[in-house]
Amino acid sequence: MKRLRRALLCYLSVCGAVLGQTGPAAANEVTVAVVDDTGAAVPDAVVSFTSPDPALNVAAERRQAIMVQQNKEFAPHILPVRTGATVRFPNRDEFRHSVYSFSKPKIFQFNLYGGDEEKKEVFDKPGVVALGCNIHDNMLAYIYVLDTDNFAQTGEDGAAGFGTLRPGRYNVAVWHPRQRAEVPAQDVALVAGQALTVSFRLPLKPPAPPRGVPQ
Amino acid sequence: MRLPALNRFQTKLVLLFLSLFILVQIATYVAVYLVTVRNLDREAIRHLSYSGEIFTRAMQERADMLADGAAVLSNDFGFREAVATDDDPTIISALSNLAGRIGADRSFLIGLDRLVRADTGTSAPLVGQSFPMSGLLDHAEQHGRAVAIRELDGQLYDFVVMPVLAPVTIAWVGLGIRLDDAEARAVRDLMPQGMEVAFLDASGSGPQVLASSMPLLAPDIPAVLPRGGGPASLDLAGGEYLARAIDLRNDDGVIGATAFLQYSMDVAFGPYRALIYALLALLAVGMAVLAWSSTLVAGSVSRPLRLLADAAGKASRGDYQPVALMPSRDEIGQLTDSFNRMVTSIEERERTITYQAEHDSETGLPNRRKFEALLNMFIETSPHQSISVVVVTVERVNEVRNTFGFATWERLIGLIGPRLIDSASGAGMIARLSTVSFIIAFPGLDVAAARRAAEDLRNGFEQPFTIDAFTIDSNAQIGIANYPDHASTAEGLVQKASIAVMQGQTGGATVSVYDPERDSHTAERLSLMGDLKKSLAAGEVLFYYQPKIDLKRGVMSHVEALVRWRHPKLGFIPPDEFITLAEQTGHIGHLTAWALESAIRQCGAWHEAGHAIRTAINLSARDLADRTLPFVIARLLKKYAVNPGWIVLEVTESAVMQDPGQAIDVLDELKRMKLTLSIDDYGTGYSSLSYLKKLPIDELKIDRSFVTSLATSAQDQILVRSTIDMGHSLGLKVTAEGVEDEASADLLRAFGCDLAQGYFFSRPIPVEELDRFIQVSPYGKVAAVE
Repeated sequence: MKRLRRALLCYLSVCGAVLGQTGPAAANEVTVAVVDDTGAAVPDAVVSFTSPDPALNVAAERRQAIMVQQNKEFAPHILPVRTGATVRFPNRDEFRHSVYSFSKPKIFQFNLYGGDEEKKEVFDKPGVVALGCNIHDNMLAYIYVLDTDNFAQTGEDGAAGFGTLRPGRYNVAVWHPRQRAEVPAQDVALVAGQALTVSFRLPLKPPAPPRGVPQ
Repeated sequence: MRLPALNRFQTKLVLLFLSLFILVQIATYVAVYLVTVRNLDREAIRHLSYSGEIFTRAMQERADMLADGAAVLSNDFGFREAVATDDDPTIISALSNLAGRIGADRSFLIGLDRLVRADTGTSAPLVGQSFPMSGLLDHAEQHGRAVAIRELDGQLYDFVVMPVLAPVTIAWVGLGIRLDDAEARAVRDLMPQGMEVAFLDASGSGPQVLASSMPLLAPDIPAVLPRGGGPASLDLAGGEYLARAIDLRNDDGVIGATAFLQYSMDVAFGPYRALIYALLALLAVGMAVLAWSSTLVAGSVSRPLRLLADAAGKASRGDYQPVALMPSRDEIGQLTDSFNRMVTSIEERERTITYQAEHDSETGLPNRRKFEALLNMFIETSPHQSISVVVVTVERVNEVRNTFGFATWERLIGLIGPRLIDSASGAGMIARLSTVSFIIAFPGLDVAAARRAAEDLRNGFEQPFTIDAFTIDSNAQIGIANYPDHASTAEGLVQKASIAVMQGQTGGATVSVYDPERDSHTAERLSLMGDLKKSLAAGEVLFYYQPKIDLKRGVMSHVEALVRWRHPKLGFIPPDEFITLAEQTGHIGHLTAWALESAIRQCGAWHEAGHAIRTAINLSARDLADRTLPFVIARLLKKYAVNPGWIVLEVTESAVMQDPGQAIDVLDELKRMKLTLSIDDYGTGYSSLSYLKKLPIDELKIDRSFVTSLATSAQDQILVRSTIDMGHSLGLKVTAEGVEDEASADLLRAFGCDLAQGYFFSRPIPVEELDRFIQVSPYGKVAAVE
């Protein structure tokens, strides 16, 4: 724990130094750190900043996303998208897949489609959409539909940085497919010129076993 | 002789063999049994442990089978879609379909909120309730599936729970198979024979049997359930079992039930039971065969032994039969040979011994014992036939022994038998009775005929016996007894005939028939002898004196002392009777001692009184056989100051003849002492004149049989006269006894007889009367002492 904290502080100071030198003056240095209930860094958690002011949630370049099916796997495993985003599903395997979702925000099914085909789907309701393949049980991916463009995934160090958030009031949420329970979002106020660090403790379940190989 | 069955060698041998066999068999049986039982125990434990593995594997396979079924369902897209879209009818239909397909008895669908959304196959569905095995859901979430055994509604189920992934968990599907008796039996059937399986719930209220492969056993189990330990031995429903309990732990860590494995030792023992029966059968057959064969073997050994034992028993009773057996070289054969040799030699020896026991070695004649046995047998077979028994006592035989020695004597004895046989016509048998006596039986002869036969026998002795150069004269005294007149047994006849011999000797007859009147050998008379000694002391025995008259001088010069017994009860007893009796019973010594002393004292008394009376005392043959007699008399003479010339000793011819050598020695000594010796009863014996010449005597007493009728019998006159002349010519004085009349007295005086004695002068009288006789009788004049 102590070592991790020290590492984190060290990282933050370095980041701050870098951003302070290179970032625009209007930008605020915002960092979200996620640890699990053992204090270990949680990578791949999706962190989002949603503002009551819709204007603050918009980022133009976030309308397209892609979920690749390759090597009998989805890539990426977690795909956060803005509400209304169109997600393409290119099949890069030589065999066919049959992608489906029974998740409430988006129920759909691409019946068997081959490598030369590409499917598209618009995700217009926020929420978690679990993707599976009816052919390959082990294929699993999540599309996390958010009402904001301000989201990022934590890295290996469990931290996600935001450099373009405009000052204002935000609701900070975190999500991970293995989270044991939902963690309450935090309300933060981002003040211009001020750095902001938000921490989450997110208990995780152990990784699920590979499908079809019962123990 | 038949031994009791149990003591017989054969029985013993058979019993020995049998008991040895049984012992070995029992040892084998016990060993087999112990090893079997130990093996069984070990095998049972091994079986239990092995069955535990089988059981676990079987349960695992069931779980896998269930899980496979559940996996099929949970991976079914349609089903997932139905779940995702909350299409309950489809869900239930799919669950039922699956349950039917894999043989599940119950199936659930559980929502993410852990409430049961669907429940098939029960009358009390749990729909809407919390799933009772919540921990399993977590386990299934984590591990893809969870297995549990759990009691629901009183029934035991094997459950598997799996998540329904679409592709994340959207629900759980649960499948359960009822663990009932049939299932228990199915599991049991996988295990070794004899194993039984029961399932018990693990609730706190005490174990309860929920399923069992052996229903009858079920109620007993809880009480004896060994929990958590190793195998335990149990007695259930009369059977013996080895059992172990296995806790069935569910995937959520809860003990869902307890399995109970029990191994029937009886069933396990089953295959060995056949072995034990086989052993018992072997024992029975073996015993039968052994009994039969050992009876045969023992019989082959014991039969000869029994024959030998029987033969030995017969031999002990005198029946010497050799045993006839198949000749064999073994010990039995040797024993048989030895036995037969022994029996033969015993028989020979017995014959010899019997012969010796029944015969006399010197003459080869049968002895008295044999004679009596044969005679008794004869009497027994012909009780109505008269038999006469004749005893012949040969005289002078002992004299021959003293004169010529034993060898000659033996030869003489040896000659007597044949001589008797030659002269006995019609003799049945002849035997030797004693040294000098022989005994002859004449069957069919009465007394008179026997007397004639006896005369013949006596005549046989007239011919002298010739041994080498010697010629030996002998004669015989013969006694006769007759059956049934005198005795009814052989012993009695021989005794009576012997007595007759003695009666003849005393009576002066050569041949005499037994006379019961004169038989002193009766018990009554024997008892009389007991009184004799008392009477001697009490003065009841006393002397009467009979005067002897000096015919030339007409004075009483002698008296003869004659003993009288005045018995206190019987009165006077004649001297002939009790003297003979006293001689025969050994009492004569006392009588003689008394007689000598009385007579000598009396003689002394008379001389003291001035009467020159000589006193005559009678000596018996017994007295003459006593070499101390002269000393006794010498002492008495001295004691009473009696001159030897005053005493006359009278002896009979027969007394001298019984043992002439000895008698003559004694007489010589008495003669040397200057005592006067007189031969009594002269003329009745058979003493030859030459004998008379040898005897150192002074006087002859002519027997009264010649004197009593002297006056009337010319023949007696001649005999008496010539005897007197002969006596005188030998230098002897002659006395006549039995003078009963004056004529006889005159004749005797005329013949020159020196002394006379008889009733004509006086009867025997007591001392007091004799005094009167001296005073009043014309013959009572006594010479005065010089």
